[in-house]
Parts: sequence; C-alpha cells; structure tokens
Amino acid sequence: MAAAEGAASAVPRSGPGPERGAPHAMLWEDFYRSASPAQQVELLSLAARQGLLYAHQFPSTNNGTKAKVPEPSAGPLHLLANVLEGHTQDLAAVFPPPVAVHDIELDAGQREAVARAIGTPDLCLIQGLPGTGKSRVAAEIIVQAAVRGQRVLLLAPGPAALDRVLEILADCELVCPVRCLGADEKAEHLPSFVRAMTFAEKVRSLREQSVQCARQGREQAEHSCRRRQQEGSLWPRLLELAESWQQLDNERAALRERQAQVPEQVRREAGAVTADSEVPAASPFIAALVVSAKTRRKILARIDAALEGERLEQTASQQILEKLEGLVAPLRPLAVARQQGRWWSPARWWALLHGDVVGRLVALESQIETARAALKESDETIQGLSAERATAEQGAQAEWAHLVDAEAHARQEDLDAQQEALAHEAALLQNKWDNLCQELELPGERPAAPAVTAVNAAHGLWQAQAGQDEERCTFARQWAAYLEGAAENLATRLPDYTNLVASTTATLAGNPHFGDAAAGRQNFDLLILDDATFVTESEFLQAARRASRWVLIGQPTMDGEQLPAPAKPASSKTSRSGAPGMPGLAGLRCGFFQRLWHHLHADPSRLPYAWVQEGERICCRLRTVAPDQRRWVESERVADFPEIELRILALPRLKPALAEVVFPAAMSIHEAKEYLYRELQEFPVQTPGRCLKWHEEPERLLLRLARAPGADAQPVLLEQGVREWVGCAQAEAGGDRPAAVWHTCRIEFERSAGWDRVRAEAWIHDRLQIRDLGRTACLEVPHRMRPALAAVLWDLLFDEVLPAERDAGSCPAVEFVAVPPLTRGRGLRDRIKAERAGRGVAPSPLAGNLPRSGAGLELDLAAPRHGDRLPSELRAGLPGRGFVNYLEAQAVVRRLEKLLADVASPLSADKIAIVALYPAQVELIRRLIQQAAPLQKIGASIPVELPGAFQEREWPVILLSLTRSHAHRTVTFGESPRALALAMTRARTRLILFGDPGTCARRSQWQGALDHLDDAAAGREGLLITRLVRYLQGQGRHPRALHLSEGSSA
Amino acid sequence: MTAATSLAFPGSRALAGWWRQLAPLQPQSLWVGHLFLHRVECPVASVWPQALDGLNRFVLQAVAAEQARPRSGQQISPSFLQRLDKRLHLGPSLLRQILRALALEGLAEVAPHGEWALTAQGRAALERGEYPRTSHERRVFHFVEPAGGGTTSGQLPHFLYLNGHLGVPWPVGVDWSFDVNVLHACVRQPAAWKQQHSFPEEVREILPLAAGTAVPAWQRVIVDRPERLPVVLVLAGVTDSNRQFLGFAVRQERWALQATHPVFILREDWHAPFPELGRGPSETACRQAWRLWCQPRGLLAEDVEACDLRPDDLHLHVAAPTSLVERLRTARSDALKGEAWILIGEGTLRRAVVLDVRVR
Repeated sequence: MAAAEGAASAVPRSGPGPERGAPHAMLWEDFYRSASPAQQVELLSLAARQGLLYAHQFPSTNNGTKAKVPEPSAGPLHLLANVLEGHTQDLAAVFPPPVAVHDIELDAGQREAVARAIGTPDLCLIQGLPGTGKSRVAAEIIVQAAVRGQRVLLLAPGPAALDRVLEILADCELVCPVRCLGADEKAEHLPSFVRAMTFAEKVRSLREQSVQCARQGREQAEHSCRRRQQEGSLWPRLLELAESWQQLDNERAALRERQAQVPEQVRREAGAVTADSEVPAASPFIAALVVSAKTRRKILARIDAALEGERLEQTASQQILEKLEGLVAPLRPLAVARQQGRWWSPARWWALLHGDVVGRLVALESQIETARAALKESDETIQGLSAERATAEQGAQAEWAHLVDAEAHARQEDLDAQQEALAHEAALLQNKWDNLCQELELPGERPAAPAVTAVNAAHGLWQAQAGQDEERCTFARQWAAYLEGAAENLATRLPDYTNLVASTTATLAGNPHFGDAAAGRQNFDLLILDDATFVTESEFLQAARRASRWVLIGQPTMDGEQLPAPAKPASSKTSRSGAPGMPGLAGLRCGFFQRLWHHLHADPSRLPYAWVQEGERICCRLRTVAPDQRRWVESERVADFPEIELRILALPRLKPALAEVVFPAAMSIHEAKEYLYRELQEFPVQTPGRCLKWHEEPERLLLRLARAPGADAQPVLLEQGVREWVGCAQAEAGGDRPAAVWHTCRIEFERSAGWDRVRAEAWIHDRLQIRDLGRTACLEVPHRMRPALAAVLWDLLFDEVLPAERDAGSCPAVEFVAVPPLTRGRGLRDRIKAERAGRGVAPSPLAGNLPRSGAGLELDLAAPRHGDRLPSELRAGLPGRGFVNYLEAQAVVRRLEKLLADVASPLSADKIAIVALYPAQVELIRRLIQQAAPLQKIGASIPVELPGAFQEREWPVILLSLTRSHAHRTVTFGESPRALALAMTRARTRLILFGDPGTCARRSQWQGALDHLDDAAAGREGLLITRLVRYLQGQGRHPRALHLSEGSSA
Repeated sequence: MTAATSLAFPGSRALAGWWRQLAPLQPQSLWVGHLFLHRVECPVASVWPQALDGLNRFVLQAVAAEQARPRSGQQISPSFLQRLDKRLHLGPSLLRQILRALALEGLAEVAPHGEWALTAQGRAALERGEYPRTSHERRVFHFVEPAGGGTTSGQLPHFLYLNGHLGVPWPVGVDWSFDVNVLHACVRQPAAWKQQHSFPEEVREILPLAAGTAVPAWQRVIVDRPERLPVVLVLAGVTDSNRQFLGFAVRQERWALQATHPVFILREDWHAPFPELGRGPSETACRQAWRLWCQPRGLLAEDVEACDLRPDDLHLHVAAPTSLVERLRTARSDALKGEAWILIGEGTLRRAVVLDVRVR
C-alpha cells in the first residue's frame, strides 16, 4: 500500500526539520519490515490491544538506540542481510503445501522444490547438479506464480540459462514474457522463440502484426456484413418454397392414405352388393359382382331343392324302418323258443298258439333290410348334393374375390400414377431448394429441412448471427481505428502487462523498460535467479531490491571449493594458454549462494560424527580431531564397562571434551549406538545424504537421510517409538577420506507412541542441532544423463554418491582414449590384443601404474619452432598462440569417423559434439574434420567449440579433447576447473575423453597454485584430475563405468 | 505534552518581517506558536472515479460480446482467450494479463465454467465510461491537539488538512493518546463537512485491524506519531464572506516564514480546531507581555505599571507616562515607530500584536 497524504498529494518520506531521519520519521511499513519477527509479533499484539500504535512505542535495539532506519525499500533486504550473516535463528520454518503442477513429468523432488519456491515468504534456494531439471523447475515456478497473478523477474548471469527456461515456456499462455536484450546481443541472432519475446519484437508485433490483423478482421467483418445483406433476400423465397413443399407433402400424404384404404374400400363396396342389387351404369365392377351373385344363387337353389326332396325320402324310409323293427321285436323271442324247442318255456307254447312265427319273422327282417338299404342310399345322395353345394359356394366366392382383387389392383395402379406425378413435382422443388440453400454461405445457417418451421428457425438464428456480425463489424472498425492510432500507447503499457521479465544480471539495470529507471513502477513479486552460483552477492542484492521474494537456483560447489570467497570481477584478459575468459565462469568465485545454502540448508552430511573400524573394534568419532590435536587426546576406560575406551580431547585452556568412543570387538554397531544414546545421550549420525526428507505415513513418520533406501539396514531402538535404521556400506577403495562404513538410512517415529511431525522435528533439532527451515530444496535425480555417466561425473566433479544402477547401455558411459597409447601397460596391451583376436575381452581401466610424466605431444603455438611440427596446410590460419595436440586431434577425428560409420550402432552427426579446452585445438580439429574425406559431407554440421559455447546445451555424445601433453612440466587443463566441469557435463549418454594419461598422472601429484590458477582453483582441478587418474587405475566408486582405449587403435 | 515554556518563540524583528510578508492578506489578527499534531497513519479504502481507457473498454466490449455469443454444443470450440484474440489480435498471453488487470479492478472475473465474464461493475463501467476504483492504501491524517492537551481540556483532537506539509516528530509522555473513533467519525461525516474541512471524500473506510481483508494484518495497523509544527496563524478578510483563517509554516532555524503556500486554510467554523483563539487576550496577559517587553529595556517599574493597556486585534495600545515615552525615544525604540511586536499569552499559541505607545 502506498502511503499518501490525507488528500490526494503524496507524503514525502521524511519531513523538514532537524529530526529528519530520526526513528520517528520512518513509516510503519519500513519499520515493520526492518523489525525482527519477535518485534513484529509484539507490535501486532500491542496494536490489537490498543487499537493503534504510537510511534514512541516502537521497540529499541539491544544497545538502547532505536532501530536503524532502513532505506525505503530495504525492508525485505534486511532479512536477506541477516541470513547472509548466518542469523537464521529467527526464521520460522515453513512447510508449504503441495502444488498442482502443470508439468506433470516433474518428479517428487522437483515438485517439492516448486512448492517450496512458491510457498516461501522470503527466500528459497534450489540446488541441483547438472541435468537434474533446474530449468524445468524454474519454468514451473514461473507458471505457478503466473497462475497466482504474480510478476516474476527471471535473472541469470548469462543468456543461455534464461533462454533454456524461456524455451520451456514458449507455448505457455499463462506467461507474458519479455526477454531483455543484452548490449552485445542482437535480436536476429537469437532463436526465434526468444526473439519473439524481446520488447522490440513485441512492440513491433503490436504495431504491425496486431494492426494488420485488426484491419484484416475489419475487412472480414465487413465482408460478412455484405454477405448477410445479400442473403437477406433469400429467406422469403426459401419460405415460399417451404410452403409449396409443405403443400406437396400434404398431397402426397393424402394419396398415400388413400392407397392404404383401397382394399378395404373395395371390400366394403363388394360387401354391399347382392344378387338383387341395382347395377349402376358406370360401374362394371358392381355389375360383375351382381352377375356373380345371381349365378351363385341359381346354382345353389337347384342343389338345395334336390337336397330337400332327398331328405323327405330319407325321412319316410326311416319311419318304415322304425315300424318294421317294432313288429319284429315281439316275434324274435317266440321264434327263438320255438326253434330251440324249449318246451318248458311259455314262449314256445305261445308261439305254437300264434301260428308261423318264424316265417313272419323272416319276412319282416327282409323288409327291414330293404328299408335300411334305401336309407343308406338316401344318405349318400344327400352327401353328394352337399358336396356339390360347397363346391358351388367356393367357386362363387373365388370369383367374387377375384373380382374384388382385380378392382383393388386397378384402383392402386391409378393412385400410383398420381403418386409418381407428385414425386416428380417434389424433385423439382428439392432442386430449387438446394440451389437456394447453396446461396447461404455458411452450411450451419441453412434450414435443416424444407419446412416452414425449419426455415423460420434458421432465419431466426441467421438474424441473430447477422446482428452479431453487424456488432462485430462495428467493433472491428472501431478496434482497428483505435489500434492504428494507439499502437504506440499500447507499447508503452506493455511493461505493465508483462508478468515475466527475463534478463541477465548485467543487463537489467540499464533496461529502459524494466531497469533502474523503471524501478518504482516495475517491481516484482518474485525474483528467480538461475545459475545463482555464478552471481556475485552485490549483483544479487542490486536485483533483489526489485522483488519481495527470491528464489535462487544453483548447483553445488565442485568438491574443494572454499566458502566463501570474495567476488572478483570476471577478467576478459586472455591467458597464456590462449583460452578466452568465459563470462561468468573464468572470474567466478563461489560466494553468496553457497553461503546462503550453508546457512539455510539442513545438511546431515555435515554432522561431525563418524563411525570407523579400528582393527576389530568400532570407533565412534563424536567430533573432528585434527592430526596436530592428536597429542592432546587422552584415553580412559569406562568404570563399569572397562572394555569401552573413551578418548577425551583436552586442549590447553579449553574444557575437555569427549572426542571418540571405541567399543570392544564383541559389541555390534547396534549395541554401540544403543549404548551411546542410553549412557552418554549422544546420537552420532553419519550419513552421506545431504537432505532431511520427511515422509508421513499413517502409522509412522520417516526421516530419510540416505539417498539409497538401505535394504540391508537394521533398526536400533533409541527410545519409545524411535528407531534408527543403520546400514552398512562397503568402504571406498582408495578413497581420499575416511570410509563411511556405517551410515544411518532413516529414523522412524511411531505415531502410536505419540510422535507427530512437530515433536519429531523438535527431537531431531535437540539432538542433531539441525532443522529444515523449508527454504531449500535439493534436486537429486539425474534426468538428463544416463545413470552410469551421471554416477561417474558426479563422483568426479562433486564427490556425490549416486546409487549404483545396472547400466543398460551397450557402450561404456565414459571412455578415456589414451594419446599416446599406453604401450608400457603390459596388461592392457594384452587385453587389447585379446580383443583384436576376437576373444571378447573389452578394454578396461589400467590396473597397473600410469606413466609418471606426459608424452610431450602438445605444441605451444606461441613458441617459435613448435608450429613447424604441424603440417603446413594446417598451420596457416591457426591462432598465433595457444596449445594444440596434433595426435590427439587426429585421434578425435578418427574416433568421430568410427562413431559415424559404426554399423552396429550408427550415430547421426547431430548427436555428436566435440569440445576442446583451447581455441587453437578447436580450430585444428575443425580443419582436420574438413580434410577428412568421410566427414566432408557432414563434418561441417558437427559443432567443435570451447566449453563456454556449450553452456545450457547438451548432446548425446561428447568428445572432449583435454589437449595438454607436456613432457616434463605439470600443466593445467583449460581456463578453469569449472570450464572443464562444464565440458564434461554436456554429454547425455556417452563421454569420450582424449588425453595424455601421463600428463594427468603428473597433474594429480601437484598441489598448490599452478599457471593462471590460484590455490583454490588449482586445488579443485587437481582433485578432479586425481579422481580421473584413480578411475584410469581401475579405482573410484564406479570403476566399471569407465573404459580405457588406446589412441592408436581409435 | 511539553510545556509551552520549553518552546521557542520568535522575537519582535522576526514578527515584523513576517508582518510585511503577510500584509497583502490584510490580516485582522495574528497568532504565533506551535501546533501539536497527531500524525495518524492508517490503512483506508479509497474510492476514486476512474475513467475507462480505450484498451480496457474494447477488451470489456469483446468479453461482453463473447459472453453474449451463443455456444455451439456440438463442435469443439476454441478457448475463450482464442476467441477473444480473434477479435483483438493481441495474443492470448497479453490478453490474459489485460484481463487479469481488469479482474484486479473488479471489472472482469473468471466465471464458474472457466470463461471470462464481466462483473456487474464491469457492465456499469462499459455503460458509463468510468468506474469507482477502490484502492487500499495507507494515508496520513493530521489531527490538531487542543491547546492545553486533550486530556486536561476534555476536547477531542480536530482534523486539520495540512496540504502535504509535515511537522517534526516530538517527544511526548505516556499520557499521549489518540481516540481512533475521532478518525472514524470524520469518515462518517457528510460530504459538506468533508469539503469544508478538506477531508478526503474518497476515503470510505478505515480498514479494521481484525477483519480479514485482502490486506495483511500488519498493514492494517494504525500508527499515531506526535508532531509539532511551528506556525503563524492569520485571520484575514474584512467581511464575514471573505474571512479566512490561514496557517503558515515556519522554519524554526532562522524563523523563516513559508508565506507562499499556507499549510491550511479554514473558512467557516475556523475556531472549531482553535477555540482558545476566539477569545481576546486578558488584561493580565497583556500586562505580563508588556512587562516582559519592558524588562530588558531598563524602564522604571513604576512607569511600566502606570501604563494603561488596551488591546485590540492587532495592537496593544499603551498609554504611558511621559518619562517612559521619553526614555524610549532616547533609546530610539521601535515601539514609537509602530514596529515593535510582542506576543501575548503563555500558551502554545500566542497572539502577536504591535505596540502602539503614546503619552498618556
């Protein structure tokens, strides 16, 4: 909030009078920002109680004076200054919640870094080795800040780091970036996506492209309006057609209905016809039906009459038969009794009385037979007549049906003809309709069907669209006119709408739009300083004023770099070696970033404890005892446990302190740890891990200390619910520091025992004096490099241990091509011979001794006669000074040819780059490539550069020419150890080093300043070369990852 | 509050010089002294009418048009920003920032379906061409402490518009206090009062410390800083209609009067902040001032006491014995030329009058 006078005018920051600058003259915001957190809390509490604060209640500093008045904008910097001085005790730990990242490929560590950067109230440091995704994290932080409506200032010492981040953000609509152009940069040399982000290009785009597009938009809108006007007359015609169509459709529907009713109608008409019906004159169908009916009636009448007569006869026969049977029935028993002589039966006697009963019976039965036969004949006659009648009936019905069907068919044909005529008419209408619809330009606006409702609906939409087009046209005209007149004005407002300003540290101050001149207007919510390792404190503080929060991204120091060193301006002077000073590298002194990291980051690997094996016994070192202090170490035994030896450091005039505890051989590491914790309240944790990583699980809290999970680790119960998991690692062969035999993998806190995060953190802080302030994040996963390559390089350059992973690559990750060949190494020679003989033994690091001095293959072009040792065609045009190594350059080119021609795994030219440490060697290799026949077509596309040219760039395969090969002197390699490290870390899958092993071996023996390198830089280079030599001797942490080849065989 | 005796006051020559500087104003009365002020720095919500500029107007129009545009549910439509960019051709990323700026002004917002839309204020701004812009800022208000201190007099501090001038910080005792309700009461005053007292009308609210607004709690703290402002107060104008009460700042180092621009101007009701100035000087005060003037000039006490004193707005008429007048004449005193100025009273504000010595 800006402070302003009660009325419109602004209040000057300090008023007239002798008290100017006195404590009371400060404004509240300035005072508050400069107050300590405790004072801030106290003041807010007081304000809440009183309703306001009085200026005389502002607290004093410890010496009784009022708090120092900061500069108006120095409030946040006050905290920064405190942190730089190591005063972090007042900093409250922050644990920001996770954020929903846009880049879903970020790993957990990167997401944590983003969350911490976004959530920090003041400062956040992110550290990661090359290839761990720092640029992606920076880009994600920018996106997250943009989502939150924050403005970000992205700074880096060089443009390469900036452009790397901007490349990731190129298509992100959330960010409206401006890339500030350096004084020595030209827009036309920038990549297209960066050029589009420069202020000039954006202004040009506004002035030209936007105005041009606005004009085109206006023309299109006007065209649309004109088209609408033309289309307006179509709608009445469409409506007329739709009505015609509708009418036609109705007719066709009616016809179809009639067609459907024809059979029924004909049947109905036929049903009404009888033989007695009158025959209309114009209806042959009815007439035929009547004739048919009459014929039927006549036939049936005849049959019916015959049937009647036959039935009468049948009835009479039946009656006769019944009568005869009535006469026969009484005679039949008498006749039986007479015939059978049943004299005892009255019937016999009765039959005797009634004459010839038997004869009468026979006569009657004969009559009965006759009657029955007549009856049967009558039945058959009746059946025949009935059948005849049925046949006649069927014939009549068939004829009837035939007449009906024929009539129906005739009528259907008539209707079909009408239908066809209507269809033809419809086709004509459809044609007209289609033609008319085609005149409506937009298919979506055409009526869905030739119907009145559809036309009306489409017309309604068309009218709405026409209204919008009219409005759009008006808008486009006004907007184009405005842009034509106000493009300049818009350009001046562009900085206000920019939410990402990317600039080098050197360029920002002088930038007219975002530099110091615009500092009052153009401030930022967040400053992201990439490559902070290469930025001086003053540069950072100058830029830090522009933002209220800062995120610094850097990489760890190379092992051996000292903290902190004074900033020294980069020198542009060319050294004797001819290597130009690399911006941000040559004059680099590690400084404030490492200091900040040191103060803010809780690094468990910095704990002073060490567990080592002394013969059969385990020794726990509780503090570091320098060799010259050893004489002050006194030994004594524990009274109740005399097998345990206590070593006490009793320095003169200082309180004796327990330095080491040595346990008997019978005690295991777990027993030793339990003893130390239980009896001495010591919690000596040794771990190679560099971060405190808390993991919250439902049943426990985990503090992971080591990068490796520690599958073989065993628990040590420290107290209720607290377990320390201790793993055992193999000691480093030939390491340059005490081997970390035992290390703490993790510490567990059981929730069931009452542990929560706050309590566990307090416990750790109490015992180890380290706490995670939530302002640092480590990126530890090598994304860019092949794991085996990363493992070797991180070991060589940063003394970082990566978990050993199985390398799936078919070729070695690191290869050292010895120039000249190591003919003195008999074992190696034998192996190479074996390989040539096809016995499948791959060349491996030399187990024996390396040459003790170099082969003297380098040529100093500044020396009078050295140049003569080069072929004349190559010598001309080379720089007048600097080092070249002709044999090594040849080896590089031969290896290049071999890589490109390798049938088994051919490489394309765009996957290889060559780095040399000296400009003259760079030029020599270029010339050799041009001369090499196999490379003439593609050689030009292979970059050959100094290390500085490869900053923020990487290739799958890097060929690195170390160049130096001195016969008797110890020499340096390149401009600086950082340049060498930069060159080595540019490879993604394979690094092929070319060098003289003897020169390397000699370099590893030298200590102290050398050539242009001071003590520190020479020490770092020496350490790097020493580790390399160790690998050449088959040692180092990952000896299998480095292979040694012979230069001559290359 | 520090006693008036510890304060420095100008001498006759300085007063005479000031009189010449102020003469064009035709002063009717003159006071000199020190104002004790509460410099109250507090967070306020101010509302200003802000004209809608061309770019914002067009963007709002485009958003409104896109809002009104029927959505096609069938085909996959481009994003809102892309559609907007088809109208404006500024690029989606720049458009997003412009929209975000409009959202900060309360003119646009992201609707629930994820597209931008005008707020009610945005629609009103499109219609009227301007909009009320609310800004949260820290403002400074000055309140003049009543003469003698508010605690003793029972009067409350009165708002005084100082036109950007600053007093000097002033050490105070623990009894120094300020009632924030006085400030709240000023904000609640009607517009006429605010105009009359030059209280900023755009200030609509004093942000409370406790409420959870977008402004962090620490920025909502009200701070009162005691200040002292050496001033010359002038009552100018002959008639009531043109009468005005002006305050001019004085630089105490050389008693330099900053007469070009008054620190404040009061018209009606000018005596409300300074009620003690409405009363004329008492006889005792006049006598005391006369004695103090005479004391360093070696005048006989009986002559001094024998004088008749009659004050008016700008003069202290002294009817003196001949011997006193003669003595002054011998000493070539300014009093006989009408150029001797004295201050009457013992408070922090004292009436300045010119001596008019005549023979009784």
